[in-house]
Amino acid sequence: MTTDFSTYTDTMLFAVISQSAEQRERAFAELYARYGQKVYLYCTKVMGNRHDANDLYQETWIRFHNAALKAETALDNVAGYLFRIARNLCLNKKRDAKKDLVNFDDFSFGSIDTTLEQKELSELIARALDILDDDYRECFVLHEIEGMPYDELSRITGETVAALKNRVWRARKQVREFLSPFLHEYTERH
Amino acid sequence: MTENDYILLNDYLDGALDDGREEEFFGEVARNPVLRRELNGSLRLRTALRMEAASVIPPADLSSSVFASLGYAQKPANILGAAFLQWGGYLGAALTGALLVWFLMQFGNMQIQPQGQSVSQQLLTVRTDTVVIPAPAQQLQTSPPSFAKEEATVPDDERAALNKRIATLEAALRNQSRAASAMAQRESNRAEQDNQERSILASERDELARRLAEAQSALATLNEQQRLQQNQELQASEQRESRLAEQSNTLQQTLGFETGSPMRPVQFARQSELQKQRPVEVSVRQLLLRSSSNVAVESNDNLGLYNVAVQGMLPDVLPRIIPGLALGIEFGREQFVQQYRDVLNGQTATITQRPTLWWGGVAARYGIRTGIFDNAVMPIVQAGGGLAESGFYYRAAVGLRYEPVQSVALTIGFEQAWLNYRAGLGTYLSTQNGFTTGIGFQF
Repeated sequence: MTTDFSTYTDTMLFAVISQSAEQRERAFAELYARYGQKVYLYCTKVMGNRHDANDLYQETWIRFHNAALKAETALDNVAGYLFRIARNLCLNKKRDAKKDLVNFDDFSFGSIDTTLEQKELSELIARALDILDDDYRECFVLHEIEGMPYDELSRITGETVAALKNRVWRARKQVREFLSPFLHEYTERH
Repeated sequence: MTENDYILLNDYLDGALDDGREEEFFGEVARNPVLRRELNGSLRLRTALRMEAASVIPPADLSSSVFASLGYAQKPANILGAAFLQWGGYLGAALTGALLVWFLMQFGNMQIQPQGQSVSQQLLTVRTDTVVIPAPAQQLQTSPPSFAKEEATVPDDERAALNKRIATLEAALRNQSRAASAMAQRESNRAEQDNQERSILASERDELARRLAEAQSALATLNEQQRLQQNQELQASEQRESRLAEQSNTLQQTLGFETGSPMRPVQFARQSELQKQRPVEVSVRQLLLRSSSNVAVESNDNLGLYNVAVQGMLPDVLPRIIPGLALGIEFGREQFVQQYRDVLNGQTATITQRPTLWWGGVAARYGIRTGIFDNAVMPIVQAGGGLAESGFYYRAAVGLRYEPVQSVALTIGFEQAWLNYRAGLGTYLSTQNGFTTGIGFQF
């Protein structure tokens, strides 16, 4: 009889990873299924290139897993903790090496078949995100694309909700102005 | 678009509008075409972003790599399916919002009369019964859909084998962790060593900078000293030149020339020499008689041929009154030969006289320096008179005086003279004229 981890909360899954060697792998797989795409999306959008995003994505999960193994207390906000790891890694990476110009060829990532139109949209969005400052880009990705609430975003970044709102709103305006010539055509086709 | 519109729009997109403000927002959207356009653009953007986001998933080999690095053999869950489930909901909501905006754009100028429902609900209810009320943004942020993963039934022996393998892999992972810790320690040591080297290099750089500053300071001091020395030398040179100029002016004034005279240096030197006349000049003078006469005899055929005299002159004894005028005292002894015919006892006889006599008197000489031969040649007018042994004498001459070197003078000219002389038992007056030459030496 196997446990259906899909009914478990994030906190419960984190505890299973910490305490049960037998169930650890499956609990981790469940969390990976829940947040893998979000973390990967965050890494790619913030870093701006596939190579660094892949490295940081893998490192994020390894650190998360190691932290779970050493954890002695329950973790209330697993997703927030996961994004904090990813964010710290991205910030360190950007701090170590100044970010190079975006190579749009790197944005053909994804395991599904990507149409030319989809690729074009990805490149436009990447270019739009690239014009944002790092702080604005991070907030915009997490809130506007990932749908993370401001209070959760505040816990991860340590900034006030008002400051985060200001960043998201400004980033939203900048991205919209940049993409406005293309948005109408694209959304009309879909 | 006003500031309030901007806030309402973003709060709506953030799902932060309560019912009252949402009603206000949609009322404004219905009235304001600019806000309507902004809302439309924002929803289009969100739709595009989330459609694109749905395509960004970790590659399968990356997920496998993650699991393998953790020692897990399990195939990663189907993230793609989960993503579609998750983002599909988002996209549906976003597209619904876009549809709302389309309605608002089509019928945005209609009257809004809230009656228990929100404005958007009213709008949609009025226009169509089939349109679903758009989900506010907050609804877009609901928890991701659960991921359904199939459970596999594993026999006990396989489970035991798997557990054993897991234990092995965990041990390998621990070894990896220890290796990673050791590597981190090595990196830390290397960083510390780098810091020490940087510190040493920084101190060496500071020392070099200090030495450079000292050298620059010393060089600046030397340059300043050199400059001061040059200034002093320049001042001394100027003072010397000033003294020389002053001396030159004084000399020129002393010598009777105006300062700034265009006279050439050689002329000036010559003039200076000529001005320094010695007090005594002794000259030898010869007069080639062209004619002479003797008033005491009947016949006065002039056969006199020459006249030689030695005379002295003191040109600087009397003060010079006019430049170029010399006054002096002259004296000398003269011998001349005079030959004439006379009738004695009815017979004509030729008589030759060679009188020698002393004479002395005063003389004046005026010369004009014209610049010829650097003022060495000057026209002169000379006259003198005095007493001879047998009476008075007078003499006048014009000619040229040439002073080739200092203290030597050559003269040439035409002279007219009257002279009383004694010869035999008689005293005679001789009138003489002719070319005269002479040479004088000053002492």
